[in-house]
Amino acid sequence: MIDEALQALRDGRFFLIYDFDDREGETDFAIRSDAVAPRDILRMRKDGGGLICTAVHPAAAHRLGLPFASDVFAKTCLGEEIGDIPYDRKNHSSFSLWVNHKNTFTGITDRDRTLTITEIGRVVGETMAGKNIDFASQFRTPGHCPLLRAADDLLHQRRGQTELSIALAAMAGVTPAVTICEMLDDKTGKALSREDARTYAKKHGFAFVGGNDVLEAWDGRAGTLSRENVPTSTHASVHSHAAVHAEGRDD
Amino acid sequence: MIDKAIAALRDGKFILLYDFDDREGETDFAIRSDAVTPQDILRMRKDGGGLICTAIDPVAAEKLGLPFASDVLQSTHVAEKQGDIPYDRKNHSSFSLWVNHKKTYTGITDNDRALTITSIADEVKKSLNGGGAHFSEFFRTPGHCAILRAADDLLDQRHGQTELSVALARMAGITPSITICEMLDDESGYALPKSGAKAYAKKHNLVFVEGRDVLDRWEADKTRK
Repeated sequence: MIDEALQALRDGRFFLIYDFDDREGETDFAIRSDAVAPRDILRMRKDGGGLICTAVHPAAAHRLGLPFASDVFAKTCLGEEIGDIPYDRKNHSSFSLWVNHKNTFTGITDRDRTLTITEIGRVVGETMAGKNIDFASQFRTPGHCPLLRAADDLLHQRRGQTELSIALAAMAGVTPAVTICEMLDDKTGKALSREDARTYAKKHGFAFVGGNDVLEAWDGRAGTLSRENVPTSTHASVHSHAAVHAEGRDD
Repeated sequence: MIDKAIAALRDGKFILLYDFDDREGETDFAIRSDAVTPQDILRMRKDGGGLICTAIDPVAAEKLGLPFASDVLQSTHVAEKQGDIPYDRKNHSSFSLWVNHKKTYTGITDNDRALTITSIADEVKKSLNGGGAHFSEFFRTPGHCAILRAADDLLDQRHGQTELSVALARMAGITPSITICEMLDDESGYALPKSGAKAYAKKHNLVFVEGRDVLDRWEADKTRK
């Protein structure tokens, strides 16, 4: 299934990504941000129902000056602290800023969100390629599209859909900005069950991938660097990568 | 329509609230926050499609220590400036913080959002009754429910759904916290047009009210005082 998910990413098609039974236990829609169209926003809000968020690679977040919201809001006295998140006591949430592209009107329509999200995809691609970007000249905050900032060490550090989707983008060799949306259940008031998400994937011809599949591919992929979107393959990096990962597990 | 809207709001029913032709030109679902159930979240996300936001009275926001996001975010250099909002050049947006109640799990499910939103209403009510300034005991930020802080002078200052809905809550004599969600159009990719929102209201037997009607009542009430 991992290959189908990687191909969907390259093709700019939706795939579904489930995290882990012992984490959120939640399935998200996922699509590369630079391929998002208004009908994709429509699908996410109709069939997903969660927040439509855009995950970005940590290197891009650094270069664009996109902080973690938990840092920005620390001074409000409401800021979450490490340990507050019930499904991951060791990390804070991945929320960065909520933004609108400056050429949007209200910021919330399918067209406006598409503009904001595809432009985020564009500037992430450009900044990863080394171009200097003045993010503040193109976007404003607060806005209607939440950005998620993947953890610096990606899956070695945190295993949310944010990191899973950015790791997949890195493996697929596409711009590491992926737009995701939680799938909610219309009857129980809870997250859509994994089984129902799989049924939806089958019905619509979407790849369904689990966090364990992503971790396995990530670990098995020689030399995939967490901080750079540069797939290289050296024997040495296999060892360092495995060592870092083993440490993470022992924590 | 204004009396029907006030009555529906008091009864905990949805109303549809349109702003102005020369502003956003947008209709929002609106319901008192203390009445929100998971079924109501479902309806807003299915039939509305925008962000599900909770507007609160400026007096409560002040007491609860809920700032404008645009103020908190100044440090990021991406923060909006006065004049940035295309449909209202004289005001900043009304976004305050995005929060989750501490007893939620992911924060996004219908059950979780209903808990966060009804709990916000509890705190708004307590704060206006002289207590409950312990917002951070019950909520954390960032989260999945956007709080909107109405302008200090409400409709004398700003004419958004945030101020319209809080003004309606004051007129209804209920806890001034209203949860709203933009109605989007599934065909055009734009906001649902006024005619589409009116048709939805008729079909589902909901009151449709316009900013002009709310403003007229607001001005009439001021004159009476």
